[in-house]
Formats: sequence, C-alpha cells, structure tokens
Amino acid sequence: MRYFAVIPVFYAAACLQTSLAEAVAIGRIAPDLLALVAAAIALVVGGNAGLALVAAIGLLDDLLASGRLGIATAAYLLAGWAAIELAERFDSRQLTWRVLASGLFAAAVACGVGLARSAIGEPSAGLFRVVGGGLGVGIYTAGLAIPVWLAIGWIERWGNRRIAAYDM
Amino acid sequence: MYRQKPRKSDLSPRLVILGAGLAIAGALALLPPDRANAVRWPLLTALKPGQRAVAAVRRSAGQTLARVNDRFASAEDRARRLAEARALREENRRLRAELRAAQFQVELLAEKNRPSDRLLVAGAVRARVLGVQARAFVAKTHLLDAGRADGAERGAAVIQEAATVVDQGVQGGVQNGQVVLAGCRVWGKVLFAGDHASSVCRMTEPGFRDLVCLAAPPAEGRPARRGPRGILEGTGEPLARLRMIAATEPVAEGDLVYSLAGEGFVEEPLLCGRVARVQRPQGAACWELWVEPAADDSDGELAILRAAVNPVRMAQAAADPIRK
Repeated sequence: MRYFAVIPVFYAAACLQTSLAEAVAIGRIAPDLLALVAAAIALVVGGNAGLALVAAIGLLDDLLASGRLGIATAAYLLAGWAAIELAERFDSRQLTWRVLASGLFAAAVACGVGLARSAIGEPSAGLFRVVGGGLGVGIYTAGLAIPVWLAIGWIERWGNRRIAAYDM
Repeated sequence: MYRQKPRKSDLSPRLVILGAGLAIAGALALLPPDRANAVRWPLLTALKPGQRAVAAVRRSAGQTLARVNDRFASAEDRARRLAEARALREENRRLRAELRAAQFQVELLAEKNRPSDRLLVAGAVRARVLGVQARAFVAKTHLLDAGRADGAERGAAVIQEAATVVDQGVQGGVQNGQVVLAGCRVWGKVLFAGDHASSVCRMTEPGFRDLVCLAAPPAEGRPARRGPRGILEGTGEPLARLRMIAATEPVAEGDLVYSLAGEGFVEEPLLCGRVARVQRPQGAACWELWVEPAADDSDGELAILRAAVNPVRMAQAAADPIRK
C-alpha cells in the first residue's frame, strides 16, 4: 500500500518529461527524468517491489512514446534488474555510485529502446546515432541526478535520525 | 550418514517478476497500433492538467528570472539600457510626428480628391507662345487675329506692339483680362483675345494690372497669413509695382504677393512674386512696393486660367428629380 505514494512522483516526472525536457535539451540530447526516477527507485527501494515499480515506469514511458508498446517496459525491466542486482553487491549509498548508476541506467534504457525500435523496423536515427544519443542522454541524466541524489541523501539521513531518536 | 540438504529452487521471485514483465512487454508489443493508441489516450488526457501547470510555472519562472536579471544588472549595463530606451523614445516621438504629418497630408489629398461642390471651378487653357516665324506663318494664312477685339487690324500694330502672342483664342475659351500662368505662378495677363490667337503681356510690362494681396511668408507649420490688398501693375521695369497699400499696414521685404484673380474658383492662392523693395515717398499715404515676379522669364508653355461651371453640380442638378 505504501508504494502507492510513488504515483504522484510518477505523474510529476511524466509531466516534466513531456513539457520541460525539450526546453532544456542540448541539441538532440534531453535528460530522461523517468529513467532517473526508475534508477532512484531501483537503488533506494530495491528488491522485488523496486523491480515491479521500475517495470511500471517502463510501461508509463511506453505509453508516453509513440510506436509499439512493451519495448520501453522490457528495457526498464532489464536495466532495473541489473541495477538492483548490483546495488545488493556494492554499497549503494555512495553519491558517486548512485550518480554513475543513474547515468548508466538512463543510457542503457535509451540505447535499448532505440536499438529495439530499429531492430523491429520502426523509424530510427540509425545505429551510431542511437548509441551516441543514448550515451548523451546518460551523461545529461547523470548530471541532473546529482541534486536529486543529494536531496534523497538528506531525506534518508533525516529519516535515520528520527528512527534513532525513536529507538532511544 | 549425512542427510542431503533440501534443494532450493533456483528460480528466485525476482527472476519470476522479470520473466513475467518481459512476457507482458512482449504481449504488449503484439497489440495492434489502434489498440495501443486507445490505451495511450486516457493517460495523455490525464497528463494535460499537469502539463499546463508546468507550463505556467515555467512562464512565471522565466518572468521572475528576467526581473532578477534586470535588478542585478551592472550600473554600466543599466546606463546603456537607459540610453537605448531614451534613444528609442526619441525615435518613437520622431516617427509619431512623421506619422501625424503623413496623416495630415493624406487628409489634405483626400480633401482635394473629393468632388468639389463649388459652382465655379478653375480650368486652364494650354497655350504655346508663338515665335516670329510662327506669327508670320499664321499671319499669311489669315489666322492671326490677336487684338482684333480691340479694333486692331491683322498685321498691324498689335503684332508689332504685343510682347507675346500665344496660340489660343476665343475659340479655346480665352477672354481678355484672363490670368496667364507659368506653372502654378502668375506670369501675366491676356491683353487681347483673337479667334485663334491672343496677345499676352508679362507682369512687368506696361498694361498689366491685377488686384493682389500681401501675405507674410509662411512660418514653420503655419500657413501664409493674408494681408492688405493692392494693385499690381507693370511699368516696363524688371520689377512690377504694387500700389494702394496703406502706409499704416505692416510690410516687409520678402512678403509674398498673391493674385486675387482666381478668388472664388481657385482653391489655392496664385502666387505673383515677393516684395523685393519697399519705398515710401515723403508724405505719401501708401507704400510703393516693388515685386519680383515668381514665374521665370522663359516663354515656355503657358496656361490661361478661366472659370468653368462645375460639372459635378450640373450633373447633380440634372439628376435631381424635384427639378424635373
């Protein structure tokens, strides 16, 4: 039930992505806010619930884009699964790791979706541009992830202090 | 010896979720495009309010940012912007003045183009000055009758004495005493109108007399102000003489002299010239003014001014059913 709280976050991310991403795009490279939210959920929430939420964001991305459904869902699922598996093996609380993971997540999703669409014959910018654009999206999203992860870190610390105070 | 450890399933729930998710994604990929669009439409509709809110926030943030930028602009930048604003205000003022002037001109032109309801309107008879050869030719062909109205015979004194003969006469609507124009300025008068030709005299030649009025030269943005009336006459001197202007009237060199010959049917006053010399004989009650003609000396194409009945008024009268 507590996971329903992420619905407003999904809604806000979808609104920002559809109405603001083009305004802040550098050339053809725009940050992927949905991928950033999915990476944050995969690293913070983690587990099976985290993976299910990442799949839901993938479905949302699918619905926002034109073309065949399911491709972004699959890409988010695979990238989310990899992120959660890695987060369980490394210390996922370090800012650097989190920022890097967010960038890689966004780049993997962008490349995966682009390559899959070109593989099934949908209009695509070409292999080189897809990969290059995906890497650009990853770098831009990683840059945007820094303040987001800082804010999440402050919230986490504030929550831990409250728990510690409650235990005492 | 050792009990075999119970074997756990290798399939973790996460892999199950992953597999199920990929299967769902594959099923979604098989959806036909119209079904996919039917699924998308409610979501896109639901996003509309949020998108509008984001746009509004973005707009207001842009305005706030612009205001902040403006506030934190350096003094030099501010001075430059103020100078630019001042220059633009000046430019606007100048353009507004030009626009007003242009609108005034347009109104004047519209007024001029409007059919006049005057009874008499000005008409002009184009006339060419006949040279010696031409005069000799028309005299031979019994056409030169300039001055016959005055009792002169063909080839006699009129031709010899008249300074200039033009190729328009009574048949063209020319009458004695009509004003002769060069361009839009008074050149002289018709002395004698014949059937086919007329003799005319310049403003400075003896025999020219006309009722005129003085006017101060127009100041900037102010039209010429009409002054006292007098008689302009030619004396044979290079300047015409203006008489009958009371010595009590303010007169100055450079004042303009307008003919009153076209009064009543000419809309614009006809310029004769300007006062070149001002004299007042001892004890005289009137000024003696000498006027420099405004029309040049060249005997080119002239126009003889005449009054004509306004055709618009005639047409209106003809179309009036009450009169019929």
